[in-house]
Amino acid sequence: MFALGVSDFSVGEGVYPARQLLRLARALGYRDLVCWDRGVAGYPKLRAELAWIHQARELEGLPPDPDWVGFRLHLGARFAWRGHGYGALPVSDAGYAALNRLLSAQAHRERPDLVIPGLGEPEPPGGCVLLAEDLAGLDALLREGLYGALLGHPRRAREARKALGAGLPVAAPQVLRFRTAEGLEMHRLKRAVAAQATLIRTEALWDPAEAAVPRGDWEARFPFCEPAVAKATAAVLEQVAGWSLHWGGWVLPDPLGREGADLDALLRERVRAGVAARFPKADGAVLARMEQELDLIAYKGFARYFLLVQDIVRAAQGATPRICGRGSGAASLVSYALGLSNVDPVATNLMFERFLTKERKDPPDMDIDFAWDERDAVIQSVFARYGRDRVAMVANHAFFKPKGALRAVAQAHGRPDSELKQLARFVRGWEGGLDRAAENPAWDVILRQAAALTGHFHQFSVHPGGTVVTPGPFWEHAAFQPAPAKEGVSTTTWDKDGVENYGLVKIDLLGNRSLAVIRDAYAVLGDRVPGDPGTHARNDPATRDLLARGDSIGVFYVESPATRQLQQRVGKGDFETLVIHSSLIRPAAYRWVDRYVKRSRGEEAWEPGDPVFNELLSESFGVLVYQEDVIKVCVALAGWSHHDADQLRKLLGKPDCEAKLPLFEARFRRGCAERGVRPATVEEAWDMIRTFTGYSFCKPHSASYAQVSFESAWIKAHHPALFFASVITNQGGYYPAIAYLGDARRHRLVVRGPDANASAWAFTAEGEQAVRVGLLQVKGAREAEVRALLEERERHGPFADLDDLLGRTALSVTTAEALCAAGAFDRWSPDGDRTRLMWARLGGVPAGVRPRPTDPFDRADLEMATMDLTLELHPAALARVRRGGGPDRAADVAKAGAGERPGRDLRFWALVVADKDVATEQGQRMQFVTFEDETGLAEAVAFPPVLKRRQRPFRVGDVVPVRGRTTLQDKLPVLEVL
Amino acid sequence: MLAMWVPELPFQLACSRDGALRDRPLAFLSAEQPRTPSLWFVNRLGRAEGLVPGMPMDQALRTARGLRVLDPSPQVWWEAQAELGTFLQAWTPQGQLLRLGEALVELQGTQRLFGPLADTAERMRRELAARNGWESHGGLSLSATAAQLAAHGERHLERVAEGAEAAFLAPQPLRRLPDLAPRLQERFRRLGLRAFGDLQPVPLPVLAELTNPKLAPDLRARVRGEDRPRLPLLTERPGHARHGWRLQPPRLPEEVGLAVRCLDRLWSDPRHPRTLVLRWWDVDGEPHAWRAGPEDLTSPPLVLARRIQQAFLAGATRRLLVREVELRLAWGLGRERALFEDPRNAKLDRLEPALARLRRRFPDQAVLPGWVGRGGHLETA
Repeated sequence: MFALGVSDFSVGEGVYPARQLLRLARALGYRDLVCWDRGVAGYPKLRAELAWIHQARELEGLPPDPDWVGFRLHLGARFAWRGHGYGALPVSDAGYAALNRLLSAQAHRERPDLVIPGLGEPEPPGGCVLLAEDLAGLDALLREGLYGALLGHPRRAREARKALGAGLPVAAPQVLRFRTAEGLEMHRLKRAVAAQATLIRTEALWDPAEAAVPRGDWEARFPFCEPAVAKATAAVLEQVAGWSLHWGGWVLPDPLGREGADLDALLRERVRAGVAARFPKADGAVLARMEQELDLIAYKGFARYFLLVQDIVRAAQGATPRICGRGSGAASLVSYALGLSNVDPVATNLMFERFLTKERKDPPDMDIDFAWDERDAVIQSVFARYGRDRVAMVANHAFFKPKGALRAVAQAHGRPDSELKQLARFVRGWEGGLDRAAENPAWDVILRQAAALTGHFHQFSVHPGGTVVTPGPFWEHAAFQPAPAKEGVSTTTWDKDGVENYGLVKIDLLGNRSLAVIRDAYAVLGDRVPGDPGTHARNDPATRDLLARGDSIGVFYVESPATRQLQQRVGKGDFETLVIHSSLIRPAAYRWVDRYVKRSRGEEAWEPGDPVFNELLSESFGVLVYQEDVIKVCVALAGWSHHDADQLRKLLGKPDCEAKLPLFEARFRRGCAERGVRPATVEEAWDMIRTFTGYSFCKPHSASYAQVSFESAWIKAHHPALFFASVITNQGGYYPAIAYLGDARRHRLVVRGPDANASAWAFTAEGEQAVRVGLLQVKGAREAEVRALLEERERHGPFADLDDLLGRTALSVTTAEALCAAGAFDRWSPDGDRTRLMWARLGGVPAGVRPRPTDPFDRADLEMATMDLTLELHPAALARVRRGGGPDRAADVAKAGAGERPGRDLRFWALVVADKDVATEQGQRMQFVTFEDETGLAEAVAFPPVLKRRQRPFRVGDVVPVRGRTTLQDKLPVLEVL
Repeated sequence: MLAMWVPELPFQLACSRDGALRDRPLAFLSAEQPRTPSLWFVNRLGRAEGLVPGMPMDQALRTARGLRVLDPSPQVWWEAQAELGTFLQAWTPQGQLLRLGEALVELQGTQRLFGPLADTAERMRRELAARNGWESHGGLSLSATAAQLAAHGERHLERVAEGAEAAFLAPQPLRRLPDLAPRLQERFRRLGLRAFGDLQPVPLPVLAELTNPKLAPDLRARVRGEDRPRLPLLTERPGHARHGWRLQPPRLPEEVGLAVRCLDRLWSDPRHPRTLVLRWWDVDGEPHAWRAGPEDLTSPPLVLARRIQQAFLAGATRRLLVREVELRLAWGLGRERALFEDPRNAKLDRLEPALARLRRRFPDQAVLPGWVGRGGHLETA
């Protein structure tokens, strides 16, 4: 017979993650399990886990596990109606849609602002087997003319007997809630966490007598042992098993207004027009690629997706959108022709197969970046255009991580915030468990429970940009709900993987700050922007030179210290190199980065271990750089199909990669051995494949980003003032504002402070040689008041003096104080005394009061307090004067690279502008740090003993005394912190 | 007004227990028991050697070779603070305990008992040293702020004459003003106001705009030495009682066992409670209170103790441990005792012994005088 399984997706109740639930059901002797959560959010996860059980055997080269052969998973969901509890098991497509509709309507009932056309009121779904949890519920159902059965349980034997006596149907599948006392305790804990109550005052929803028992025991007890009940239960299973969910078939809507049209022909027409526009002289390769892609797209029925994306982009931003198509979709010439990506895939040698192949089963999607401040409007336009009943964003499933689990459990035990903060500090940056978190014995239970809670489903959030449009009402495919903490948006209850596995094709509409940087800069430059800025930037010698010397602070995607150093080491600034570098910088790939650098400089002879390497990886000197490389190598060396290799590629980015990777590794080695590949080659290849764990990119993604990098670098090379102003205004980067202004000064720009008569809201360029700090940077100044000030200035001209300003605007004391402290009124105080200016808002200095004037040090303090940056004195210089010591400077580190012998001990004060924590092979923490003072930047490394001695890591914004020794690492000067 | 200041009371207590600790850098270990032991309080000698609170212990031991790190004993410190209060009660009924080792007492009106104020203050210092071995300092002034700052000057006894408060306070840095919010301190600093003297001439309307209209008059009075606060009583009033329990370690409300503690107190006094207020503080210092209604007050001790427990559990809804619980009681039926005896109160007092005997005999029933109504209210007729 079958069981009903409650998983951890029943928030505040369920204790079993998907894998455990499946194994429990099997261990108890069941071969049919119905997902029995509140909602259907957990169903895809259960399904994926079941698929993995079979796939793991396959990867191991073993025949299917007889234990699991014939094990079936069915869909069901619990819901409440008129105060009674029910469960529904769909037995038809209509029943599935009705169930989704009910769940969606219930979820939206608490958000009257979100009106979903056609969703209606939540009513028990037709086309489903309905099971009432009590007799009163069954009665309510029957009174409405709906058919259902009582869900029997030995604890409620009397009720079941009553129902049987009245001739009502009773079904008694076992509900798997928990098995042991620990499980019940976990249930109580989850109830406490969900209800935000303490554990001690939380009652369990379930009775200890409801613990799951082996199937044989269950079936020997009343009510199941009653023949009528057993028969009814079998009938339910027969009905449920007779229907299966359409899983895996792609669901694609038509673009608006094109319903019923020949979309393949339409796409062909548009692509041809696009190719003609993009390639004035299209060669044979381009045309052949175009036809090949169009044929494949027609074969897969994917034309409507391209046209849908184009429709969404055009509806939001017109015919010339400011976007960056990225991800694997950018490998498509069709995307390029439709204006959905900006990189020529033929010239860049991008592999269309990474996006779409004949064998591909899961639907590919396209990622489109918009300027960060335009993205929300784009998403809202999709909802408005296609209707709220057809559009939903994709949910994210957040699972408890060690830190969150610890926090939740500690709160359930009533521990105070101060202890939690302290604990959280210890947990920060940990790779592993919680066993070292505290010595306090009072925390033993908390730690044990937190460890058990880790990995369980926690809550829903919203995917950054994943949006799904369905051909008809959304509930025909999936349930959806109001987005948590996001206005005016609904989300699916499934996450990205669930949506994809079902077959819903999502479009990622993402925000990108650098696109806003480029947009703002181009708006100011106007006619000075070259006709085709992307191509122009790629061929511009000054831009290439800037990138080659790693002068890329602020440049999109290549500004991190690691990438800048790689650029410096390789010394190339061309597009192809940048594409490689933006993919090569990955946490686990540092060893291969060194080899790549040596090989690219000709310092290490590269002898391909296998001719395949030469064939596939010659442009990156035998180093696997892109996701496609993983696929290529698996296909070529291990003889995998493209689909199988793609499964590995997908796994490498997943959180459960570590657990599953050994099976793929074994299969890879087996495949290589069968094909006679040399063991050394296999080792090398697998070692490189492992570096893709966590995150990695495909080549089209890197190429698209490199294109944005080039445009951004072009602005920096030719209009640095404008560049820095845009970067800081859009808060788009790796470094704090003060670091960008430091770099601006190193580019011989003048940084001018905020000025009530000269500053705008944003940072602005004043000519080509100066950057003016924008009033947005002033903390404590109320935005409405500052904007009113700017409006008044715009309307009636500049302010004559401070009294004029205060007379014409209604600044509060707080705003006036903040602006004055930041130096926005300095033009009316030539001696730099801001104190006197501050008194102006209070009617002048009262008689008898003799306020102390501000000196340069006070001004620097005020600027740091209000703007997190300084104008006259660098924070490091300020600390040096005040606290003494530090005879050296950050720029002295660079001398090691300019002829001075490394090994010099230095001591200086510095501001930390970048920090990166990494773990050594022994699991100890070390840091790469970028220090800055008024003389320049210094890259540094702090090894584990130093951090241990220092007790706390370096953090961005800290002003610290640094003691270190200069070293040369691959000819680059690096300070080793002592 | 006299401000008494026992500097570094925890360290003085430690030194009085162990004479070998005198004249060497000392520090208490953090009570939070972090993974890396760190310092909590550091004495002056320790600070002079570069030690600061929060410093990891191993680093501190390397920095100051002669450092002795002591285990914290907050219970002992609280008891010492309470002892300071008891000591001061012998001299004056009005006063207030402030930070650890600090108190403010009103000496006006004690001249006929103890002589001139300065002499009294000096005698208090000497007696405290003789009785407890604590070195203390005093500040004598009509202004509470001036008295406090004078005591902190640590010149044994400093007297700020009447009319000289403003001049005394003028050079003091504003950061010494007790309870000045950091935000205001920063605002004053930005306006170039660093000392009391800078703030003294600022007109009230301007001060009100800089702070807020409610706070400004008090702030102005304090910086000018014109504050004359009326201090509360150091002891409980007759017929009042206060029972506090510090929960160490802090625990969940369900684990406090309040009913038993309260029953103990309610049973030990045969009189009837007139008012009952339960106060408690969460581990993060958030205060809560519950006041018993007239119906609760007339119920027998067993019922009342259970009612207190219920009210406590119902009110303690925050997901936090409780750090301290306090039961405040006013005993005896009837109204608050006034200066002149109310005949009905006198009648009640005469009845109390009989009522007490009856309550002992019928502990689970409400034993009340006949004129107390069914709802527990005293009938006015």
